[in-house]
Amino acid sequence: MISALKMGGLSMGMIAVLGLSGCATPDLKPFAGASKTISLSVSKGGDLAIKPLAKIPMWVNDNLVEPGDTNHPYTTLKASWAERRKVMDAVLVYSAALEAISDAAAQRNQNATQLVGSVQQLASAVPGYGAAFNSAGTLVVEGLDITVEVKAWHDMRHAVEAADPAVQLVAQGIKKDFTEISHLYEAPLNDQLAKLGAAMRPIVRFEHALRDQRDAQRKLVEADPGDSSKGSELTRLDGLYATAAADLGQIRSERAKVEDAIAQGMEFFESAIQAVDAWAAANDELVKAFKEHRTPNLTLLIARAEELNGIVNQLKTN
Amino acid sequence: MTFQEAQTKFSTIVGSLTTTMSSGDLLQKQRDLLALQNRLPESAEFDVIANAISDFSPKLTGMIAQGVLDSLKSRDAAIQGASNLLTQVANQANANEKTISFTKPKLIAAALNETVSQLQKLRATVKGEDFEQALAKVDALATLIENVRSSIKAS
Repeated sequence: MISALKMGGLSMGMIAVLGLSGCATPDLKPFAGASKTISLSVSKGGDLAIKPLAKIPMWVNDNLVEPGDTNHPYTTLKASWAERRKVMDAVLVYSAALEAISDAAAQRNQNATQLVGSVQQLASAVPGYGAAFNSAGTLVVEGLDITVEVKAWHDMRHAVEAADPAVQLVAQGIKKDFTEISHLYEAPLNDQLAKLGAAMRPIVRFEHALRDQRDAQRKLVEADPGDSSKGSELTRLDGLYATAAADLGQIRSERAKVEDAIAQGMEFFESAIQAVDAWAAANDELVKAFKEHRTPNLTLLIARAEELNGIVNQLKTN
Repeated sequence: MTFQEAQTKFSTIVGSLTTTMSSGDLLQKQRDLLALQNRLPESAEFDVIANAISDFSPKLTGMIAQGVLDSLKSRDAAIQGASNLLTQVANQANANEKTISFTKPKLIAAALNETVSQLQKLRATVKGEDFEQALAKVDALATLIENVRSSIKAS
């Protein structure tokens, strides 16, 4: 009868063989996770840069086109962005398929482990029969496990190699798209800043003039505290100044909000571009890792995806 | 800054615009105009330039939108091609995943468990000294074990 220890030893031996052959299927959950984050950011990018255009009149060849008009750029931009969403759906399906191969191999290993357990139980129950059974069972289990592992490994290798040109093309395209829609995101916000900048000028002058008048009046009151008419005028000027200062404060706060929105958007688009870069590099790394029979290094991809995810979540809460 | 200087700067920026400019270049011009507006002296005579910048900025936004749109459209075909290729790869990968995740080992494990249970019954029969029945159970068990072995070999 073979002992449990020996069975464990055989299983360990099997794992060692897999390790030495370099055929262990890599865990592709980080890659699938990053693909989801990038896909989400493509949707978010469209929401940030294209969606707001639906509500604003836009200049097209010296004509101001109202929202809803067939010539308004929003309709075509939306349709073009839908193609990006579609390609990201294909990316999601691709990365999910890779993950499924990885999971299927792991599941198969689990099934094989259960089989080893059953053979072991049987061996301990039948003195004299155990060794034969054990031997047969173990061999089959080893054989099964290695066969599955190698098949999964080859399937994944084939998939990442076949997909790499498309992945690189998508990454290149999406990066350009992100850069350009970041311009589209910023431009209408700059319009708001220009509008606020022009609107602010008379208010600034009014606030300065009132402040000067009030300060001069205050000096007059200080020089002649007994003159009630001077005191009343100071009170009136104080009231006017407070209103002007509040108006200026409001317009400055609106401006600060627009500037914050620009900064946040830029942070998002920069992070998304970096994540797409890391994602394309990760697929390339997978191809190389399979060729070189080594574990792929997905550290940068994980870091970039986490960073982007954080920004997307922050944008969601704002 | 004099009014004349401000006016010249505004005209220079607007005059440098061309129809072939990228959305990034156009955005830079818009930023330059905004920076000029921010630097304008407070005096009312400069309001006309500040207002001209405010009025012109949306026209630049329109040009940027058109530039982005043309650029996105120029990549649509490539993006669709990549999408199709990824879908094909994913379909093949999904087919492979189905091949890998068959459940035969689970069935074999169940058969072996059943064998153990038969052995335990056999042991009980022998202990009860009903050797004739025990012999029948041994035969049944041998058949069962043989089936299990065949299943394992076949997998």
